[in-house]
Amino acid sequence: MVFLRYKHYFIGALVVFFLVFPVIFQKSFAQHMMILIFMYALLAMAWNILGGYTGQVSLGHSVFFGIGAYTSTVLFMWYGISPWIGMIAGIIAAVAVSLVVGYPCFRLKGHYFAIATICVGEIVHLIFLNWQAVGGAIGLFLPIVDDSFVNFQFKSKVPYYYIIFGLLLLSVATTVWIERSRLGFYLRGVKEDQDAARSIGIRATRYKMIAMALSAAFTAMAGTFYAQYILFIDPGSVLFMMLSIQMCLMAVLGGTGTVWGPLIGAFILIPLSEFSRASLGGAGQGLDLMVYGGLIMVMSAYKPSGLISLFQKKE
Amino acid sequence: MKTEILKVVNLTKRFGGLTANSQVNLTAGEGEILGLLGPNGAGKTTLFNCIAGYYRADEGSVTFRGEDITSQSPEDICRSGIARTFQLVKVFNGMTVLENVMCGAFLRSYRVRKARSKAQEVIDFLELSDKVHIPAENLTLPDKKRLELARALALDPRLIMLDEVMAGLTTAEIGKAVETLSRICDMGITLVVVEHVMEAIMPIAHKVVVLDNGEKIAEGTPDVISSDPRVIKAYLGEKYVAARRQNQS
Amino acid sequence: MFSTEVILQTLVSGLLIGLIFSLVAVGLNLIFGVMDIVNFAHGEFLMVSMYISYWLFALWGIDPMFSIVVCAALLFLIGVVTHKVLIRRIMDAPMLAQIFATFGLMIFIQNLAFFLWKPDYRSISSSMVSGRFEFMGVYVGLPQLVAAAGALVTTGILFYLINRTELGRALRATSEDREAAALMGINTENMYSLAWGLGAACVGVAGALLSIFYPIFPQVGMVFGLTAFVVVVLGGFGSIAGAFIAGIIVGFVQVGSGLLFPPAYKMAFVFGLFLLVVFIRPQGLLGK
Repeated sequence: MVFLRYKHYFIGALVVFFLVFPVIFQKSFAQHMMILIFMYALLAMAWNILGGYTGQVSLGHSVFFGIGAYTSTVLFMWYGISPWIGMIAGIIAAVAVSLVVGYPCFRLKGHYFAIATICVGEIVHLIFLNWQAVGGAIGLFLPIVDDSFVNFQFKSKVPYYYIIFGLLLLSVATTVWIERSRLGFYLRGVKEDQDAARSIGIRATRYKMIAMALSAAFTAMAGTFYAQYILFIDPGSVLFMMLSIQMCLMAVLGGTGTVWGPLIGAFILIPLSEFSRASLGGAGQGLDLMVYGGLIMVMSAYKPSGLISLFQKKE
Repeated sequence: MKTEILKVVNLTKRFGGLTANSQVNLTAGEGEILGLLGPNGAGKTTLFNCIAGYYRADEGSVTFRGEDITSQSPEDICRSGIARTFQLVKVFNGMTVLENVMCGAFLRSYRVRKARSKAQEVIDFLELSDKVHIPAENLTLPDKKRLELARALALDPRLIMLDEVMAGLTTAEIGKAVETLSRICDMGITLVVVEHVMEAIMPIAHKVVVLDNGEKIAEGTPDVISSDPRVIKAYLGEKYVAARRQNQS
Repeated sequence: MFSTEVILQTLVSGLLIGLIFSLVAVGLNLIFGVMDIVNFAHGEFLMVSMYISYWLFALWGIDPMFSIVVCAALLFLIGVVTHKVLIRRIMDAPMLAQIFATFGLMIFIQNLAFFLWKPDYRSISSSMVSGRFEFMGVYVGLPQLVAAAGALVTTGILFYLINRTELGRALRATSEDREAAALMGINTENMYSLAWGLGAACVGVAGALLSIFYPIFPQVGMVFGLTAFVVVVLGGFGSIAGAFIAGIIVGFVQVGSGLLFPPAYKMAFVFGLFLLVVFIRPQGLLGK
C-alpha cells in the first residue's frame, strides 16, 4: 500500500497538523476534544506497553491514573508543591505500587492475572472512596491559582493542548524505542512463550516488571495532567473500572503490540463516545461502549490483531 | 581424555510417590556428543529438566564447568552456557526467523546491530538464509527445529541439550539433522542428546548413557551399548535376550 | 464480643447469599471445566436474567417464581447462541483473543442494558414469596430463603446431571480430552454448546431467584460476576463441588466482614480473599 512507503512523510504531516491545530481551530470545544483524545491515547499507549507487548492483560490500570492524580493534587494543595514535581512524585508512587503489586501477580497465568488486576483496582477504589483525608467520595477541588507554567494551570486550553501532545509524543517515542531495542524483543518473547524465553536466558519476571513500571509511569503522568486540566478529582473520575477497561479497549481495537494501534483506538473511541453523548444526551449513555464492546467481540473472532492489521502487509 | 564439562552426581527426583530419577551419575566431556537413551518412562526428560533448571532435584548435584548449577533457574543456567531445545518445539511463532535468532543473540550483547549480524551468521551456518524474514509459524516442522537450534546457537553456548530433536522427521530429514549436529560438535560445543531414534544418535555419539526406570543401567560407546544385554532387555524384554543367547550358542 | 444471635444471624445470612454465589459460580465453572474458557460475561448473563424476570413482572404481572423457568430457558438459548456465534471462532485463538472475546461481550451486554433501561435501580415490589420469619433469634427473609433453597436444588440437579447421567459423562469426557471424546463418537461441538447453555441456564435460575429481593440495575452483573470468579478460584476451576463449598465460604466472608468493618469495605474482603487464594493455593480447595 502506498500509505506504508510514504510513512515518514505522512507522520511528519500529521505532527505538523497537530502542532498548528489550536491555531486553526480556535473553538474551545474542538481543542477540548483533541486534548481528551490525546490524553486517552496516552493512556492507551501506556497500557499497551504492558498489555500489548508483554501480553499481561491488566484491567486495573486506573489505579495508576488515580495515584498520579491524587499524589500531585495532594502535594499541591497541602504543601504548595508545583504539580510538575508532583507529577514526578506521582510517577514514583505509581511505579512503586506497580512493582509491589505486580511482582506476586506475575506468577499468575493469563485469566488469573486479569481478574487479580480487577480485584486490586476495586480494592484501591474502595480505599480512596472511604479515605476522608483525601476527600473520600466527595473528591478534591483544586484551588484556582494564577495562570503559570509552574502552577500547571492556564486559563486558555492551548498550553494544556501542547503539554498533553508533548506527553503523548514522549510515549510514542518510548514505545518506538522499546520496539526496536532488546527490551522489545525480550518482551515479545515473554509474551509468546515464557518457558522458551527463559531457556534463552530472558529473566521473564524482571522484564515484566520493567514493562509494568513504564506502563504505570505514563499512566500516572496522564493522571496528573487530568487533575490539572479538570481541577477536580474523585474516585469516580480517576479510579473507576470503566477507565481501566477503556484503556485496554482502545489498544485492543487498534491493535495491541504496535505503535499505531492504541492511537487508532483512541481516535475512534473518544470522538465516538463524545458524539454519542452530545447527540443523544442521557439517552445515549452506554451506546459508545456498546459499539466498542461489539467491535472488540468481532475483532477477537475475526481479526485478533486489531484494526491496524488492515494496514499491514502479510509476508 | 576430554575434560569434564558436565557432571551429574547421584541425582534423584521424585514426584509424590514416583521416583523418576534415582541416583543417576553421568559426565559429559567437552566437545563430546553424549547420547541419553532409554525406553519410554525411563526418566530421560525428567533428568533433562533437572539439569536445565526446570525441575529442582531432590538429591544430588549438577556441576557445569566446575560450577554448581543444581538449584539455578533456567535463565541463569542459560547464562552459564547451557542451551536447550524442547521436545515440542517452542519457537516464537509471531516473530520472523531472524527475530527469533536475534532473541538468542541478545544474551551476549544488548546492541541490536550486533545481535542482528550474529543472528545472520548463525542462520547462514544452519542454512536457513532463504527464510530469514518468514514468520516462524509458517515454517515446516524440520525448519522450526532448525530455527530453535539456531536460536540456541546464537547464545554462544558451551553445551546444548537436545530433547528428542529427531521426533517427527523423515529419514532424509534425520540424515540432514545428524550432519548438522556433527558440524556443531566440530565447533567445540558439547551436545547432550536425549533420543529415541537410534539410527540418528548411534552413528555420532561418543558416549551413550542408558536409563531404565529412573536408574542408569549402562554406559559406554555406542557399540558396547548396543550389545549390552541389560540394554536389550530394557528395550525389548527378557525373552529377546534369551532368544539371542540361544541363537548365539 | 458478639452475641450468639448476631453470629448466628451472620452465618445464616452468609449461607443464604452464599448458596446463590455457588449457583452462579457453578455455571461459570461448567464452562471453564469443559472448554477452558473464562466467561467474563457471566455476570451480565445474570443481569439479563434479572431484567427478564423484572419485565415479566412489570409488564404482565408474572411472579418471579414462575419466571424461573422462562429465565432458565431463555438464558440457555443465549448461552448456546453465544457459543455458536462467538466462542466457536475463538476456541483455538491465543489467550488474549479469548479473554477479549467474552470481555467484549460483557461490555456489549452491560452497556446495552444501560442504553435500553438506564441506570435506574428497579425492584420487584411484590411476590407471593415475601415477608420474614424468626427462628431462634435469627431473622430470615422468606425470599432469601426460597432463593437459597432454589439455588441448592438447582446445583443439586446440575451435579446429578453431570455425574450420574450419560449426557453428563459425555460432557466430562469432552472436558478431559477433546480429541479422545470425538473419537468415541461424541459430538464435541454440541457438548460445548450444551456447556454454555447449561452454564447460562444456571445463572438464569439464579437471576430469577435474586430478582425477588435484590435490586435490578445494569451493573448488578459486575458485582456477582466478580464474586463468582472469586468463588470459582477458591473452589478450584473445574470442580462443581468445590464451587458449591466456596460459594458458601465467600457468602460468610462477605456478610461476616460487615460485622467488624464498615459495610462499604465488604467487597474489598471478597477481593482480598481472591488475592489470598491465588497466591497461596492457586488450585483452590478442590481444583484439578
